[in-house]
Amino acid sequence: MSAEELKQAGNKFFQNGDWLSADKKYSQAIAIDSTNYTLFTNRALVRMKLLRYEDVINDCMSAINLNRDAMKGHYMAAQALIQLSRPSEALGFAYTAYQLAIAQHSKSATDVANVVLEAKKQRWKKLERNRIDKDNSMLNQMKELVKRDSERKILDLREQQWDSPNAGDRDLESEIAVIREDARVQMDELENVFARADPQRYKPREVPDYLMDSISFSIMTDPVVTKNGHSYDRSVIMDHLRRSNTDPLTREPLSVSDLRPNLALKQVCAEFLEENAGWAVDY
Amino acid sequence: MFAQKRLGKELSNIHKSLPPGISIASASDFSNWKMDIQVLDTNPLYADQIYRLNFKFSGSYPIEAPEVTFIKEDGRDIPMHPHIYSNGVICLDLLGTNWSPVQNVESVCMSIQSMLTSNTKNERPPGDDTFVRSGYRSPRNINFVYDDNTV
Repeated sequence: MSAEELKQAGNKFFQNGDWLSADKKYSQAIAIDSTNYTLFTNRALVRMKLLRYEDVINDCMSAINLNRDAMKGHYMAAQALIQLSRPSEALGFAYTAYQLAIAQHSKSATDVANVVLEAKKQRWKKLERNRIDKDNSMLNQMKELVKRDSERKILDLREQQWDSPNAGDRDLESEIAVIREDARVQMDELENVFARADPQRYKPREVPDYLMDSISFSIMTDPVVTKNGHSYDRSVIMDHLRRSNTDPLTREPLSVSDLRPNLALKQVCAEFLEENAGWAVDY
Repeated sequence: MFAQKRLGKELSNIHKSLPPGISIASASDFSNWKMDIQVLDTNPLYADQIYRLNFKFSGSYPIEAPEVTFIKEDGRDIPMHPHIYSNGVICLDLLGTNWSPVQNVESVCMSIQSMLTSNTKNERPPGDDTFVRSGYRSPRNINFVYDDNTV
């Protein structure tokens, strides 16, 4: 069988949900013809179904090496990297996939945009976890210092007692209790200070309207501005323009070539996401 | 697509506040909602009446318009209007050729509410009998003639 015939056979198995046989056929096809990038993206899709994410990435890389504009290669690599919790790498692939999807007028542009957001969210969560761990370790260190200080004071008291056992009738136990109480108050105070230093966690979690696309009601990642000055997310307004060449607000004629990137707004959205991706993506 | 996310947001906005005369009757999923509307001024045609609108959303909402019809349910009737057929089908350009994805459930309800408010004719569209007998349920299959802009 030729590589093309094997590919067709693989596609058939894929449609029937027989991932293993599809994987085999694509592999045989690749053995014959290793220059056709679609064989690699097809096998990557099968391996995605088989949850073999490392292999997905390898196939995507092969596809991209053969054709730098293989949108699906970048797209699936991003998805697999998200599954492997490698969001920073995923984001790189997702961005490229998004640019290619827009340039190629792909209908999957919205899905690709969602993968960009997913990668951002995952990266934010990772950073946030590190930050909390770091904060906590600092807090714990300081609490440890307070504790050690109080223990040292108690030790001193006991040593004085040993050195001069007859020095009046000092109530050792109550003095120790006072030291312990002081330490506890100090630790509470520390926790308060740390909580107050992070008001972010107590802020209401809302995305401002001006960062939201008024069609999809999600935060924009690639805003474009129309002739009347209103901004939409690029993939969303392109969905609309595929159906109707009108401005959604004014119903005046509008086509893809009338759209201009809104760079300042894009920056604001990106900064907002950088700080809030953990919840803003799903908002 | 983003239909579910968008409808989820619309729903939480609707639960927060709705204009007078519009209320939510049921919205348990993201494919079918029911809204109750009433006319608030003293228009004798619709005084003290509550009408029920049925919204059907496709997976392409809001790029694609929802299907909106009046339904008879819980004693609610189909309002008398020269653009509303007696089977509940509404002839409104906003729901067809002039749909725009920046519209939403609330704005559609308000448009229909004001369409009733401003009406004075106690009549059905011409050809109502034939239209209803032909069994069209989906407004999408009909090429309405939006000839009368006075109502």
